[in-house]
Amino acid sequence: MYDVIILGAGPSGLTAAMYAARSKLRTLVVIGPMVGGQIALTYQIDNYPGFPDGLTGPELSDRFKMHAERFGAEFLDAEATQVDFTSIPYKVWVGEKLLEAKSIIVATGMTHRKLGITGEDRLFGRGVFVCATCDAVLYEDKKVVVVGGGDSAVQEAIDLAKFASEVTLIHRRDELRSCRCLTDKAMSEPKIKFLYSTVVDEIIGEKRVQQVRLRNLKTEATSVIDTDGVLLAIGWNPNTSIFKGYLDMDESGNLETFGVKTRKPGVYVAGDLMDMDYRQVVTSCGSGCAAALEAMHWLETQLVR
Amino acid sequence: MSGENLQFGDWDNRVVKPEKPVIVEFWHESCPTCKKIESTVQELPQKLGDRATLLRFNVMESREARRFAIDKGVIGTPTFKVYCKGIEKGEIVGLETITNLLGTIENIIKDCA
Repeated sequence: MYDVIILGAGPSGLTAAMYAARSKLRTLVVIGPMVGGQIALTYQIDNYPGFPDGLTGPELSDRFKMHAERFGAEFLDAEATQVDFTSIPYKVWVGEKLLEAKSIIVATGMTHRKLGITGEDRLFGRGVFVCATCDAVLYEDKKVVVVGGGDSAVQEAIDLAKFASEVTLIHRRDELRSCRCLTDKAMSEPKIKFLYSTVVDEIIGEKRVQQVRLRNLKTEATSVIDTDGVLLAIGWNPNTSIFKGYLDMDESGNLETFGVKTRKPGVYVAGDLMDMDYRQVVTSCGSGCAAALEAMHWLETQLVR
Repeated sequence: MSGENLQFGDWDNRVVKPEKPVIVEFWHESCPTCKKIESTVQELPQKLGDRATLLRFNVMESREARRFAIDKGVIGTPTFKVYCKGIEKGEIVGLETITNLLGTIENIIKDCA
């Protein structure tokens, strides 16, 4: 039996693991799709304090994991398939394997949202991609379209511009939502072009992405432009489906949280799932820390009884 | 034991000249999906046995390596391309289970003779 099982190994899960393990809690991290979570897919991270030169997402992920391991956190490289939070011990299944813990930290984060348009699934990995870290280098001297207008989209456009000959950022609103720091940087990059109030209706190509069909939302005019790649950065869906029935959530799967707490005693939430406003690496680490501290306090009260 | 590393200078000798089909995995170290599929890739040579050879090509090794991969039509990592005497017969892109990866490769190399 574990003191705490942490579901997810992004910045929040790994920070929670480091805090919990350092406090001598028997800690297991069920990694999920990959160590680092979203930051494993980010080429460059320039806003994590203490790293003035910046570093890559995978490198920061590895550092977080090493830090948790140093204090004895255990890791399971698999995805939780089912849970039962009816009573303590709380149960987590990974396939056939049953794991039990006195407390749980949910840090399963979010997954890339898709556009849901023709060509998107068929050409995924064939020019449609979500991971600039993985594939930006392969677009050297090629044209890429980035869909989205938030921090991630603009950061990805900047990363891609290091390699691509031309990057077109397509955003459905009439202005970017990204922070000023990124917007200014993107605006000063001559390779990046901006198309506002525009959506992608179709991704066209036989074996590879060749074109996208665009529609201007103000004029309804459609156009087709040539491109070698389409990077999707339009937002995220919460990874919460396995908690249905055990944790309160809205129709989209967003959990009901009170800080890092849930209505379930001993079950805490960290990272993007409890943060609708900031969603930064450093704020995720913060909530991971808070969730671990709450779990520790709660476990102590259980001991007294 | 996973596939051996391939340098682009060895392409003719190790991909074009051999009679046996060659599978080239295009990958790099900071690609999380490549990391994720590593255990599957390690199983592959044994499963393929004598039927085909697996070689691994690091697209980030140098600028030349990157250009070479782009010229070979690689636009995502990992990409597994199947060659018969240097001619590309098919590819598998992204994360796959060993069963799917092996099944697709076997289907492609059937036409190699």
